[in-house]
Amino acid sequence: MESIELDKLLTQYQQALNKAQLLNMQSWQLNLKCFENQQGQKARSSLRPVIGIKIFALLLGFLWVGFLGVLVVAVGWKNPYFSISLSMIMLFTLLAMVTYTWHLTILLSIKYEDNVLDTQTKISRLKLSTIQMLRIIILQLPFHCTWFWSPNWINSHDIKFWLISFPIFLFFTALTIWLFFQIKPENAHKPWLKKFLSLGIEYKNLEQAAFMLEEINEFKKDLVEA
Amino acid sequence: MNQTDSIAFTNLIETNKGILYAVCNNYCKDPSKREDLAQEILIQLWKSLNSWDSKFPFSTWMYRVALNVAISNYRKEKSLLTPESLDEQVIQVASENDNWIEKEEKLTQLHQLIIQLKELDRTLMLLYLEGRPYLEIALILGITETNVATKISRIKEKLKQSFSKIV
Repeated sequence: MESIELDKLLTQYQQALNKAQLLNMQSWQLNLKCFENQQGQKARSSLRPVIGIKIFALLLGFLWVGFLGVLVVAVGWKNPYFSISLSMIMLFTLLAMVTYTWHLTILLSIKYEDNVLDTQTKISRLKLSTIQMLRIIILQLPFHCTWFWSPNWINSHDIKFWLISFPIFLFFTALTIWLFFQIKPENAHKPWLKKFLSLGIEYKNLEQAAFMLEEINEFKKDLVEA
Repeated sequence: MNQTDSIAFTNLIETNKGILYAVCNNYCKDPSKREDLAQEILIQLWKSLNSWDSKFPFSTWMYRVALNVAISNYRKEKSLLTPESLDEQVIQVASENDNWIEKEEKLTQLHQLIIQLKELDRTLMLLYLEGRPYLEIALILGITETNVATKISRIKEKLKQSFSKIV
């Protein structure tokens, strides 16, 4: 096919699109006059509620870390298992809070009126980093099984420790390691992860964000090569 | 909402409503959802209105908001991008002339090829087919004018090659 022929076809195609759009316009007229009344409605694209949720979560995080900190200071080395477990839970919560703060800065910088490539890159990165935060939070799981341990209990050869508490700790450690390596956007299509993610994150968002980011990178790479 | 602002906004949208229709038709194949998308874009346009610098064309700013809302919230899933999702209306309108069988066939093939382009390439083609100047396309997408020209020529080359394979 010649370039001229393609250009002619593209022009005809656009003309057809315009005509079809005119037909569509007759079927769904924009109700601009009623727009004033509709402004109160929630916009799906609005990022403001997400910002509110993140600020609320950060406040809760501060309270939780503060509470744990008080407990660690109060108990100190009297029970190292308690203090180390709580310190690790605090550490991972703090890491999650740092990620949340980073999310907030991205969220506040997203403007729909900015150019398409920048805005879509920010939105996709934001969606993808949600899964990273989940991985960080999961790392604290084994320490929820150890905070009530004590040297006395372990040294007393209590059967409940070796047959129940310790195996549970081993199980959750193994589960945490496995989840840490399995929870990633590339696995978002797997049924078990879909169910797991549906507790807090919409997996479709992740799939789309990963796909979009890949496309943006390809698009930019193509520009560099140009 | 100030009454004067409201009237000015309504007038601006009325003048540029073609952009709204083009974006909605391109990003939302389900007619029942197009009005929702249009409404969504309108709300976002109104909320961002203060950011519009009147030294620049309203259309550039409007395209940015509309495309960002459409891509972020109404991105079609890959599975929907099949030839079956052809907008029959487009083809019907195009075929209301002479040589309609041949024309219909070619436009159908072109439609299929455009629909199968990557999201950003398709966005670029939408702006190109709408007749936007390269400078405006560059400002909307956030790339240089030279890059716009190179990209369009590459996409057209790709379309030509794909066409040659079909025909």
